[in-house]
Amino acid sequence: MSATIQFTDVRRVFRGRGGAEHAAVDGVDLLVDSSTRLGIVGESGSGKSTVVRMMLGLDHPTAGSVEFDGVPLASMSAPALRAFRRQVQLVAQDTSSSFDPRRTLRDALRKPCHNLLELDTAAADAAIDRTLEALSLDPALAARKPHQVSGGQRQRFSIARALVVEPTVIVCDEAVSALDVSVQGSVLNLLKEHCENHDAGLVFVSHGLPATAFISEELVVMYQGRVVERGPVGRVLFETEHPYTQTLVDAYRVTEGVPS
Amino acid sequence: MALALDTPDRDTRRRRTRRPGIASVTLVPAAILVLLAVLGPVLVPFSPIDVVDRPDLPPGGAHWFGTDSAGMDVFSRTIAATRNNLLIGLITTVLATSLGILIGLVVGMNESRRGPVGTLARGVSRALDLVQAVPAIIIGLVLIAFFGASIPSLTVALTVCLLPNQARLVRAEVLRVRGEAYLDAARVSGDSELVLIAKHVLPNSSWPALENASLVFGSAIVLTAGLGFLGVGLHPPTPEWGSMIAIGAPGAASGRWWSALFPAVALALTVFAVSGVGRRLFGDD
Repeated sequence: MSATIQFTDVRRVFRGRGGAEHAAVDGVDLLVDSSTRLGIVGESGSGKSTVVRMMLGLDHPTAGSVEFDGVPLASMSAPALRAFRRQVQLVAQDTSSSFDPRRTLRDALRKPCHNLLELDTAAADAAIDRTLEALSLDPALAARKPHQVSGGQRQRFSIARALVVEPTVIVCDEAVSALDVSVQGSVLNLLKEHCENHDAGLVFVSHGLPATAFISEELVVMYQGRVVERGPVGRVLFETEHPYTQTLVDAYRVTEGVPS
Repeated sequence: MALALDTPDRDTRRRRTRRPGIASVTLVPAAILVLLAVLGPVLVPFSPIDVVDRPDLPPGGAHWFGTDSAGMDVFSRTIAATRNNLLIGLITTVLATSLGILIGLVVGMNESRRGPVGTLARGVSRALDLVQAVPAIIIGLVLIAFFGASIPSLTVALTVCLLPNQARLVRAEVLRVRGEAYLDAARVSGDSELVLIAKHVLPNSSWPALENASLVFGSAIVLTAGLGFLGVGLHPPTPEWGSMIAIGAPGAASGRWWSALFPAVALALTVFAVSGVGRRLFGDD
């Protein structure tokens, strides 16, 4: 199954106190499909998270359009939105707040099974256990509440919540930024393997170039709400066109010890 | 992994220390109060609404708390008043808390919206501020002047006084919870906005109002007595602590302390007992 999300000249303006307007995203064109692992990189405030929210239909553009398979997300009917969510899932940024602290992890994972796959509880639990085992997680941990597992385990549960419906596109918003390096590696490998084994697309959004470059095939660089550079990872890293991208790459070389 | 193993143990230990034992002692006064409210009017030795002996008899064998200036038995009236005062306090607390949670939820979820719904929510928010700026006793006096002194009208008046604080507490919490990532995660998992509010926003936002409920209960009892003291609460001979204190106060100045003291002590002990329930349920006892 293929799916495409098309951003066409998208602008998202926020109004601050006193009516001052700020364009978080300005004139962005983007194509996301289920055959590519796309990395979006940029500094804090570059508009990445706003792009993610619009990509998931959680926010809508002030101007321009975001379409899923040709249908604007802003005007989707409830059944169409459910079908969209069945195909596009999120691995959230902050695992400590992406699960309701009052509910168990299994409750959180049952939601997409009930709402999007229309499974009963027994079938949902079976699907959840299969997914958890595939992610090397003990299904017994799902009986715990979010604060009762470690950060790395919580991130795997966040991935499990996205994968349990077998989406065609997984959107990761700073999915590994809060994890220590060893856990980062295992989570990145896990996501990459899943995409390769299940022909799923990936949108990996991060302010860190190393993780994004590792997992992505194509790279988009955002700066001050605009896309300033895009292309295959190798081309963006080694034939940089925009000065901001060059700054990112230089920082990457310094931190990773790569000779220029 | 250490975190995964340590945290539940710590939680379990904390819960264990709060289970039966010394902490439950705080519930004993409240349990006695409830018993008095239910059985008190049946158990009292004299009618609480009739003149039973000579006026101003001091505490003794026949009248444990003495008689008041009208000749009514102070002990019987103090015990019988428990039901009225607790009933008003309880209904007020339930109404103020449930309506406060509902209003706080609706205002918090909508006040940043554009259009008429957002304008209305912001208007309600400002109205809550306005009501809270006026002393509760004044609002009570005005409302009772309109509706008359009865248990239902007292309850409505006190609910209007005490509801805004509950609503504001919940509103503030809703504004925090509304930005939590688990709401977006639930949306992506297919939850509708209504389900989202019922299953996530409400349970995570209502706890400040629930914690504050024991304080509302105490305030309702004190305000009931305050209105009774000012002569606009329940009228004698209906037993009510505030009006009993008002009747006994002039005598207290000339040495007949008993008819004002005992209802005042009952009032203080009741507020203490109710706050004990709050501490037991939500505090660190």
